[in-house]
Amino acid sequence: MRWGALRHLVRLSIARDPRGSLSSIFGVAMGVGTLVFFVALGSGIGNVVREQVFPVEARLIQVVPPTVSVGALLGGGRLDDAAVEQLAGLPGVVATHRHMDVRVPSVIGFNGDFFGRQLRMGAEVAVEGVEPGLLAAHVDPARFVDAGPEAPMAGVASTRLLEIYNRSFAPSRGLPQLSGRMLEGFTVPIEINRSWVSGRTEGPMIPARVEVVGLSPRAMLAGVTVPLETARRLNAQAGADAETYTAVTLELETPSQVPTVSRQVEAMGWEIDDQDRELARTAGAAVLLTTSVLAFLSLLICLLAAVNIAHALSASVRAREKELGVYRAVGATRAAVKQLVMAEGATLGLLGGAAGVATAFLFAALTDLAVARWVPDFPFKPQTAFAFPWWLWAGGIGLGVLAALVGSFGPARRAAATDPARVLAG
Amino acid sequence: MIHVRGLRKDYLEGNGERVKVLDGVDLEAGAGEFVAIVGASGSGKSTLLHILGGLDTDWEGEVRVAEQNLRGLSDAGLSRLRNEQVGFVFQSFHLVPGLSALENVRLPAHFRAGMSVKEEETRAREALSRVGLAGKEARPPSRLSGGERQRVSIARALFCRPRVLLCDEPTGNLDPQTAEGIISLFHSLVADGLTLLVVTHEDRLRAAAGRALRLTDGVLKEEGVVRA
Repeated sequence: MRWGALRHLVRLSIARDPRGSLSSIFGVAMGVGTLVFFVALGSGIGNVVREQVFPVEARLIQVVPPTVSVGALLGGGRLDDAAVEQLAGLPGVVATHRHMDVRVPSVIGFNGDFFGRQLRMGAEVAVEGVEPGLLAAHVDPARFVDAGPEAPMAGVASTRLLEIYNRSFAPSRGLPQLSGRMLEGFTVPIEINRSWVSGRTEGPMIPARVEVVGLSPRAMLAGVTVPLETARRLNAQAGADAETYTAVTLELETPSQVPTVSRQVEAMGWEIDDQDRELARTAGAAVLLTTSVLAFLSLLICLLAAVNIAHALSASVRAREKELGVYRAVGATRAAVKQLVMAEGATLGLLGGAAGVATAFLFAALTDLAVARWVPDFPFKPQTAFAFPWWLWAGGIGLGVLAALVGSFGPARRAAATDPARVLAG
Repeated sequence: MIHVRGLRKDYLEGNGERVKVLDGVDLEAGAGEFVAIVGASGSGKSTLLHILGGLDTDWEGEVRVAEQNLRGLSDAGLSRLRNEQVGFVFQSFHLVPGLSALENVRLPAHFRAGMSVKEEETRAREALSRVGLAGKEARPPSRLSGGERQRVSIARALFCRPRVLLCDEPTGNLDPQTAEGIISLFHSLVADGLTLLVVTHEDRLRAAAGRALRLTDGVLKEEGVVRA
């Protein structure tokens, strides 16, 4: 049958029973709409988890010395320059970024004007030194350098820490909201080799100041990230190990190389610190599981929609027996009649699928609006909790058409089997 | 144009008994012939018509219509035959309610390829004009009289310029005056070379035909020409 003719006859039969057609479209829209809504929600929340809460970069591996090893007891297992050189030579590794913790405790104390508010606080913090190349995407490498013992230390704070401060810490204490730009240039006193927890420390206490030069998701969460050379200098001053590294980040060509390189690294006697990756994976799995359960329920609704379409089209075929007989009398083949009923079903599915996707978009927008207006701020509160990749709405419409085609198959077969001689007699 | 030899057809009744409807029907009808088939209700007249049009395929014997052996035709072949060579006219008109008169007439074009929309429309208008309905193309069946509806159904049957027209009680639902109009239309179609086979109860239509055949006990017999 010609495409134009098919379209014409489909439009005719749908228009003739608007209530039945609307009921079928509504059924499909319900199933597709709920499915697209929940998958978009799961996808959106998953994105927040992956990109903001646990921002694990797929091409990076963090290598650390083994916690307990025979080699370490015998003086091996040292993550020094020679070891880093070896790791850099592994196939697929395009760059290495060394980390060195300041191996003595440090205390930050602040008492003064904090962006217009009086603030008095103190905290024991960790200080980690990293190579500027690791933060180059977020912090100007020219500013992230060791300027010597007299100048303030260049420090980088974690973007996640700022998020937690802005959404949780600051509102509960009446402190101002801050941006990364506001923090740049802010200095705070720090005392290296001092602890409020252990009470006494070996070696001299080193008073200094930290100047915030930027924010980065790669900076450590509960502490200050400084240039590697600063950490090396402070360790040397405090009499701690200033030669070996606490970790090395390996940057790979592609994420697919992670398993192979990880195995090679472990074979060399090193360990992989994949805590963040595991957390992201666990959180992602929880989101996926919840989404899958809801999506499964939505699929059941789609199945019900298919049954509804089967009933509606069966009734329509029964009511139009004579008309289908006339089509046969003027030259329609059985296949053409079947094609016509299937096309009717597909059209209802297409309209229902499109309506479902549009409804999911609408409800997602309303949900975002409601969350923005009525849900109090919390860390990592997203602007939108939904993600609508192209495959989701295309898949939603496709599912609507598929459900409708499944539902229309039986009625189409019955329509094709209609005996024109019987229905046109008399 | 129509050649039938030894046509047999039976069916099973609800009580399991086999009933013979056609029991060796022979029929010959050439181009430009107007043949009326008469017989009691349930004698198998409509069944014969449906077999000739390829709507009923469960029979025995030999049937050739428009030089095509119906036994050898697939569903697609029979559909093409109905679409291109054979037109049907029914007592109840069987027009599609949501379509205008013009769209009803164009319906056969939906199931054939190779005709442009413009050509379809021209042909449909010609067919409507031929049956005297020029100017009523846009009217839906609900706004046409019984006679006009039957004319639309004849125009639909003529749309594909068939060689054979099969009519099942075409004047059964019409008043005498309207029926006369349909009969004179049939005469003009036959004059143009169309083979017309009409199943009827009506003397008027039987008298208008060149030949009348009676179907009794499953067999077709010449009845001769009757003048009403």
